[in-house]
Order: sequence, then C-alpha cells, then structure tokens
Amino acid sequence: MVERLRTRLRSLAANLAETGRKLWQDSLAEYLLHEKDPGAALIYLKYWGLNYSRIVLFGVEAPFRLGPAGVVRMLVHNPWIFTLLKVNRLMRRYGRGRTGPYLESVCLALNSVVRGNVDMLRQMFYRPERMVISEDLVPIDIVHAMGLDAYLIEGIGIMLPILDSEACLQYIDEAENEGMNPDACSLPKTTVGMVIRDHLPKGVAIVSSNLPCDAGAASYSFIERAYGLPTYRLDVPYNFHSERAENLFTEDVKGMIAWLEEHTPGRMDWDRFREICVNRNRILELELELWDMLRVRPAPLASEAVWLSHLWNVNVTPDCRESVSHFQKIVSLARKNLEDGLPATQNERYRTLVWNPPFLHFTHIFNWAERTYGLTLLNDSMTYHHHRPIDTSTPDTMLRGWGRVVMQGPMVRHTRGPAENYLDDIFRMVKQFDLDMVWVANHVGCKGGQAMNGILREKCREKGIPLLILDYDLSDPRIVSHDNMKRQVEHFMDNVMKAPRLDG
Amino acid sequence: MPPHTHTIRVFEELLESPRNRLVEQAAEAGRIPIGYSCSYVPEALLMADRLFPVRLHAHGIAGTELADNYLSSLVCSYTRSLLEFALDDRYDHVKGWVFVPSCAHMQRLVDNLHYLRKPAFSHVLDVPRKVSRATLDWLEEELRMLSDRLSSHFGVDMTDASLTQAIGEWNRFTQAVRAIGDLRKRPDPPLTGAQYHAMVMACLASPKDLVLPYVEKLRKELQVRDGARGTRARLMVVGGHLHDPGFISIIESQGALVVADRFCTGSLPGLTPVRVDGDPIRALAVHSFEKTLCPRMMEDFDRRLGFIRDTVREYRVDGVVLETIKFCDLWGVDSMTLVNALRAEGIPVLKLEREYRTSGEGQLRTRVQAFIESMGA
Amino acid sequence: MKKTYFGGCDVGSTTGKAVIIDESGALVASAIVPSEIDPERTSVLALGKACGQVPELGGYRDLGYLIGTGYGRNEVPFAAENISEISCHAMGTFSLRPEIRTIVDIGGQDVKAIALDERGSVLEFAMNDKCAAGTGRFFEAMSRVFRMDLDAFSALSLEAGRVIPVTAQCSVFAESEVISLLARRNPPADVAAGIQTAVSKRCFTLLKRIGTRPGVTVTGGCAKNRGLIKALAKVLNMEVTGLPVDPQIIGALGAAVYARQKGNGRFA
Repeated sequence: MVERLRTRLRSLAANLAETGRKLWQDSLAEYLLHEKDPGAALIYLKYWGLNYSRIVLFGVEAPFRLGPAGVVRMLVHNPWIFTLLKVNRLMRRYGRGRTGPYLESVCLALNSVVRGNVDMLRQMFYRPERMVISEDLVPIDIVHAMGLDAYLIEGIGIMLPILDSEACLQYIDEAENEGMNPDACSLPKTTVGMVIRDHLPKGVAIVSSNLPCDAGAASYSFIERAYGLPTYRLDVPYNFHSERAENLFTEDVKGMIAWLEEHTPGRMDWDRFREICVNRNRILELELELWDMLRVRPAPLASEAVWLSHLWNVNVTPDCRESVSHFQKIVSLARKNLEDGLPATQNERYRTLVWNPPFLHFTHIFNWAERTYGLTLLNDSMTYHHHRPIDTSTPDTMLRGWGRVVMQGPMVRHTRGPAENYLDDIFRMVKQFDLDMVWVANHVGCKGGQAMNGILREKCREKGIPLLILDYDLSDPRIVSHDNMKRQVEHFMDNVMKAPRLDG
Repeated sequence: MPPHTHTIRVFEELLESPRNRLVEQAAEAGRIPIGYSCSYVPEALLMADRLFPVRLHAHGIAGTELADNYLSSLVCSYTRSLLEFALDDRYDHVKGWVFVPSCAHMQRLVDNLHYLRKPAFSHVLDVPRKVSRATLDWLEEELRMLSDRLSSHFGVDMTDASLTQAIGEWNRFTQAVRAIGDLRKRPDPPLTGAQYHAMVMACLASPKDLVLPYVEKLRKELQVRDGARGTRARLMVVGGHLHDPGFISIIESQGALVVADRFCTGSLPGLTPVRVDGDPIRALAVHSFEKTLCPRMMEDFDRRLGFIRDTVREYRVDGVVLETIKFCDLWGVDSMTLVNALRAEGIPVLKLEREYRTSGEGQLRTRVQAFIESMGA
Repeated sequence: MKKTYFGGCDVGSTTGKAVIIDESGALVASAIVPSEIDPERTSVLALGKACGQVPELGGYRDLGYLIGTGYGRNEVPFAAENISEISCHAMGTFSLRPEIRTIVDIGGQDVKAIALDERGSVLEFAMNDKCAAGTGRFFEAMSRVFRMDLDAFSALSLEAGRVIPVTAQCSVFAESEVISLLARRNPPADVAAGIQTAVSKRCFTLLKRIGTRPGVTVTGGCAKNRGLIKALAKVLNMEVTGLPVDPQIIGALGAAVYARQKGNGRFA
C-alpha cells in the first residue's frame, strides 16, 4: 500500500515537472529571456498581444451575447476552443530564425488566422437560428450574401492540428471506432469524430458538395443523419473546363440559393454578393502582385506569409475587408524587403513548392528546413489558383464567375478531369517561381494523390526536377512522426540535393 | 448444396480469362469489344450494331507489382488489378474503353492507363453525382456525345433505330437472367449463390447474344433440379465490385446460401430492362440512374437502404454480408452509416473488408461461421 | 452406469488446448501443448494428454461428443463438428461467469473482441488476425528484448513510476523502439508499462467497434499477463474480471460445453 502510494506520488511529480517545463518553454518570459534580436522581440511581443487580445475580446463579449450559462455550455460542448490559446506557441515555432518584415509577415498571417477563427466562433454560436454548416470547399460567400452565418465544418479539423499536433487524435479514433475505414483521409475522420462527440454546433442547414474527394463526400450521409438537418449538395462535373459545365454548375448554385431561401431565414442580397465578389477580385490582384515579387531570387517573403495568408483569407474569409487589408500589408512588406534588397531567408539556397495539402500537424517543418538547409517554400497547391476575376455586371455573370472560382479552385481542379489538371500546375509553378525541387506532401489517406506519384516521378525525372515524396498523414502524427518526416527530408537533401547543412 | 451443372461449368470457363471464347468468336466475326468498369455505363448503348460490351475483370490476378508502381499499394485493388492486366497485355483484344469517374481510384486508373498504354479509343462518361432534371439532361447529352464518338471512330450505326434494337436485346437478356434470379426467392433455390454469380459475371464479360443460349439452357436445367435443403442461413451480399464467385463459395461453405446479390456486378437492381418511351438515349440515361445504387451518388442513401431492406423481405434473407474492398472510400465511409442503419432495422450485418482477389480464406471462413452462429443458425 | 464425457479441442497457431467435462458439466481434465506444424497431430497430442487424466477414458474415441475449434478446427479427428472460436470463447466464458458481457481474447497471433448477451449468445465480434502487433508473439518478442521470461516481464510494469509511450503499430518497429528506449537508460518498468498500455489501446480500438459493456474479461494466453490486465482496466476505465480456470483453455472449454449440449441430446 505504501509502495503503491510512493509510486503514485513519484508519477504525479514527474508529470507535474513535465507540464511545468512545457509551460515555461512556451511562455513569453522564456522567449524574451532568450531572444537576442530586439527588433524580432518587439514584433513578437506586438503580435503576442494582438493574438491574445482578439481571443480575450471574444471571451469578454461572449457572456453578453450568450449569457454566462451559454458560455459555459459552449466551452463544455466544444472543448477544442481552448486549442486557440496555443496560437502564440505556434508563432514561436514560425518565428524562429526569422527577422524584420519577413517575421512581421508571418506573425501577421497567423494573426489573420486568429481573427478568422474568432469571427468564425461568433458565427457558430451567436445566431444558431441563422447558421449554416458549409463543407470546406463550398465558400461561404453566398451564404453570407444571404444574411446567414456559416462555418466550414472541416475548417476546425484543419485549424486544430496546425495549433496542436495531437488535437485531432481523439476525433480520428472516435470515427474509426464507429466503423469508418482507417485508411480514409484523416480530415473527414476528424469531422465525423467531432460530430459523434457532439463537439460542433448544428445550425439549421448543411451545404455540402462532391468536393474534394470520395471520403469527404460520403461522410455527409453520416453527418446528415446524425444532425437530422436538410442538406444541399453541389456537384462539380468531372469535365468542368467548358461552358456546358459552367451552365450546369450555375444552375446548381441557383438551386442552392432557392433551397436556402426555402430552408433558412436567409434572403439573397445581390448587392452584398457584388461587394463580396469585388473583395475577392481585389484579393486576387494583390496575391498575383505578391507572387510576381516571389519570382525574384532570393524571394522577399515566403512560407506562412504566402500559404497561411491564402488558406484563411481566401478560403475562409474572402468577404472580409480585413482580408484585403491583410494582403495589402503583406504586399507592402514584400515590396519593402525587395526594395531594401532583403531576402526572406538569410541564406536562401533552395526554393520549393509543396504539392497537396500542407502538413497540418507539422507546418513549422518549413521553418526548420529554412534554418537547416536555406530552403524556402514559395507556394503550394492549395494556394495556387488561376481563375479570372469575377465579372460583377449582373447576378448571372457573378454566379458564373463564382462558380468558376469553385470549380477551378485548388484541390477541386486537381481531383477531377484528366491528369494534366494535376501535372501542368506543378511544372508551371516550377517555372514561374524558379524552383529547385518539388515536394509532394504524400498524405496516406489521399488516394488520388498517391495514384499520381508514379507518373509524377517519371515526368520529374524527364525534366530533371528533383522530387521528394514525403510520406505522412494529414492530421495524425502517430502514422509518421515529426522525427521521421525530418529524416525523410534529410535523406533527400543530403543525398539527392547534396545540400550542406546550415546548422553545422 | 445443389451440384454444378455442365452449363455452370461453361460459365466458370468463360470467366477464366477476359478474352474468353465467346469474346474471341465475336471478335473474329468483326464485332468490336468495348471494355467498361462501372455500372453507370449503359450496356445497351454498347450493344448497338457491331459493338459489344465486356465488363472488365481480372480473374486469376496473382499480384499487382507493376500497377503498384503507378497506382500505389494504398489504392483499391480492383483498379490496380485492371492496370496490371492491361500492362500484361491481357486486354489487347479490347478495342475501346468507356469509363465513369466513379471514384478517385477509377479516375486515376484512367490517367495511368492513358499514360502507359495510350488506348486508341477511350472515353470518360461524366456521370453526375446526384439526380435532378438538370443532371438527367446532362447525362443524356453525355450519352449522345459517347454515341457520336463511337459512331465516328468505329463506323457503327448508333441511330435511334439501332439503339432501340440493342435495348430490345438487352431487355431479353435481363429477363432471362432475372427469371433465374427469381428462383432464389424460393425456400429451396435450385442453385447456389456462387453458381448464380458465375453465370452473371460470365454474362457481363461476354457478348449477350452469344451467352444468352447458355442462360436459357441453365434455366431449363434448373426447372428439373432439386433445390438446396437444410441451409443454415439465407444471406444477401451487399457492396462494391465482386467478381470472383469463389468468394461467395467460401461464404456458402459455412452452411449458408447467398440468395440475393446487391453489389456492382450483381443482378439486383442492376439487371433490369430499359423502358423506352420515345428517345432511346433519354431512356438509357433514366435507366442508368435508376438501376444503379452506389454510394458515389450523394443523395441516394435512403434509396439504397430502402432497397436492401425490401430485398431482405422479398428474398427472406436472414443476414446481410457487406463486403468492401480495402481502401475504397465510398463504401468504407458509407458502410459506417449503412451498418448502423441496417442493424437499427433489426437486420444482422457482417462487414467484411477484402481484396479484389479472394484471399485470406481461413479468416473469411471464421468470420462467416461466427456470424451465422451469432444469428442462432 | 458408465459416465459419458464430452470434449472440446482448440487448435491454435501457437498452442493446442483440450478440455474434458462430464455429464454434469464439471471440468475433469485439460491440457495445453505447443502446436505442431500438422494441426491434426496437435489435436491428437492435446486430446491424448487430457484423456490421460481421466481413468475411464481410453482415448478421445471414447468421448461421447467432441467438437473442434480454432484455426485448425477442421483437422480434429473424430470431431462430430466444428464451431468457430468466437462462439466457443463466448460459451466457455458464459459457462463460468454468466455475468460477463465483453470478452477480449488475446491469443498467440490474433486478438478478438466479443460482445455477449445475457444468454451467452454472441451479439457482435471484431477480429484482428492480420497483424501480430499486440498478440502473444508480440509479448514474446518484447520479453526477449528485456531478457526475461514472460512471467517476469508481465509483472515488471507493475513497478512502473510512469508510462513511457511505445508504438504498437508494428511488432518490428516496436521492438527497435523499445531497444532505443532502454539504451537511453529509461527505467525498464516504465518502458514495460508503455508496452502494456500500447497493447491495451489496440484492444480498446477493437472493443469500441463492438461496444464495451461492463462485465469485461480477458481470455487467451495473454490473460495471464498481470501488467496487461492492469493497463487494460485503466484504458477501459472498467474492472476486468478474472476467470476461475486457466484463461488459455476457455475456447476448448466452450467447445466442450457445446459438445455436452449437443451430445446430451443424442444420449438423452
């Protein structure tokens, strides 16, 4: 008995020590103690405050909107919200070794994610009678133009592992235990798991689609039945690059609007939709300007400033004016670096793109690669879009243009149509950004991507482009650990690129 | 168990190779085999004039080492088996290919096939994933485009009259097969599920007019046969691609009898006649949507569930075996909901994950035996 | 009057087990032998050893009814029939502890989870027989790394101060991971606790598929692993009930009980 008690106490002490060590490691005080660059410290401090102030603001206003009991209910039923508090820990990881406008741009990108997430929380909880669940590749522009609130249900599963590598594991296990095939993509597994645990608010309707893949589309039979909510599904044709396909899809979108008007309190406001389309067009202009600057060697900005900015501001909040201001700031930071002759990375030696969804649970791998090999990430497949601006003349032209944004969007255009839709973009990006290699984020659950590797390998060999196929799982670090992922990069950089290490 | 008849052995022989003797016979007579892999392809359209459809299968596949280099080993083994056979020149006799973007695996099979083999004629029929007035119009247009391409490439008659004739031939074929299928509703069916499936698969992989006499012959043989007695359980098999009657044999080796087949290459509801009321292409489009129940269709879950439930009643099924090919996302995810829904209706379900090629016989027997025992049979 | 005896023979990949019960259902003999390559030979050896404990029996041919189970169930000579090991484990457990509702059977090369109803009928089951991680083979490999026998290894984790996580995705990789952990001078008891926890979590996954009802027990050779039982109880947050006989013979016992049920009908 005494021995057991002693063992328990020893175990408790060990756990407390470990927790204390982690808290100290991630604390502001520890950072300030060790950061040698006062400029970097100031930037970090500024965004540390901005990030937490956005969260605190939500924390202060929520009781007034939901009542204290409502806030408690929200937190009890949606414990993943606490993961947002880890944002500054992530900022430390993104910020290591980075300075000046580059550091600022990365912190800014992360701050825009915080803004986007806090805004999403408002939409999720404040007006449930006007809230629609949207599948993540059906942008919320139309729903917002109808005066409704919305959240991208898979967006939670995207955000969580970025902030905390292990945040999705409980949900993945839940879905697998329910009978979902373990080889399915871990994003629909996470979403289904959250639905099973009832960790997501329901709203009044669901808008889904056949995007981007079979597992995602098939999971909606489960979600629809679990929530008992009416569900509309958009259907992007396989051959979407034609007027015929645009006609069909536009009719489908019109059908969605009529359906939403029937099933929700929303009413289409074409003026508001026009504002959203104008906002999108402006963001598109700014992004193209940024990408133009990234073609310069060495690049003035890279990595999270590019892909994370796009992921949230274009996919989640394209209708917000703050998203336009965000890109204006990013572009001006890039221009500043360019004019001052300052590269993003001190020792840019190699430039790459990442193809397929980014390593959600290990997004700071790019920071590590920068410091270790002088490798900059210039763009990725989720960011690289090339649709025309939306013609805002009439409702019909707006719907067609918006439809093209969806049909020709990243991942959508890569998962339907012939292989050229997948391959051409890669080689265009290599040329456009003057890249030295291609990384494929080889997610084990992405069957469509896996089945293209054979062709890609041969095409890259023909063109003399070094190719790294990095095995991992999108949201589950148990499948391939961070250490293992770094080892794969090391093997490639050491043996194929013969790259010397910068960290000695 | 009802023993094999000579005709059933014929069907089994026809399955031994995609290039069976009936396919060769037709090809030598100047007819044109068109390979297809999805139930959304209207077979009747591919029966016009000199064309004949052959359902792509890879019976006897030993491994997919070549295909795995391209399609990866984490992809459905059906598509990998097809690619392997193609790389082994086992489909050299096929003059044209018609695919449907059924799923990501099938899409990538098309991509890899085009890259590695560059077929002279290959067409992707863009079948929508939901049914509405607009998508029906779209599918009708798609079928017209396919029809026009077939006509111009092969110089075959794809006029309405020709299509109507082909539909008539298809309807005669389905009626003959269904007549045998209906015998399985009896308490003592005169043939096993494996024997029935050998017939259906052989028919799908052969020219219909040449295989139809064998179907008629089997029907006559069955009229004078004693039915199966003393089976422990009547089972329904549900799922995706299942080509090997050997898989059903293993299930039946534990004392059960498979009486209903609701999978991609099964007859329920797949082999139903086409109702033509004016335009044959429109009729084929309607038929395609109606006769196929696949989880790729986003709004069809309730219809699929209802169909299984009704079939359980009609065929007096004791339990459902839901077979899914490993790595199939459509069935893999959908089965989660389907199993729960069926069990909620009081229907016992055994979920079996398998490879395209029948393997793991011992493990399969154990699971089926335990399932039958758990039903109290 | 001459007594009638009923037998069950469970031919597994690692061991063969035989159980004999009498007309009243009392267990009168049991035997465990290492499996031979030929399952028939294994069954003959196991049955021979069991029958040798019952003076009235000259051999297995004197049994009133014999049922085979396990992967080699078709090879048990003179078995009147064979029944799946799932049903037999359920029956064997139910005959001893009718309050049990969930069984985890951890054998030499596979793991099974079985849910029972109040009549001892199988409600649902799940199996992992495609991978040896978390089975008897896995523990054998682990105990070799620790340079201990299975008994000593099973008790080692009970002394752990904390649990050092170990992967159980693959036996081969787990072995190399454990070697690294021990080489880095981590306390062996803590590493052993990590192994037991990893296996328990794999069992947990299987159990979740069938629904874990209170009244949990473990059968199979690995049920004798005390560290594993403790870890499993913790992972499930439920008590794990022990059985009054060697848990490794439960499958054979269930087969014998079935033999008695079917044989009694014949001899009534």
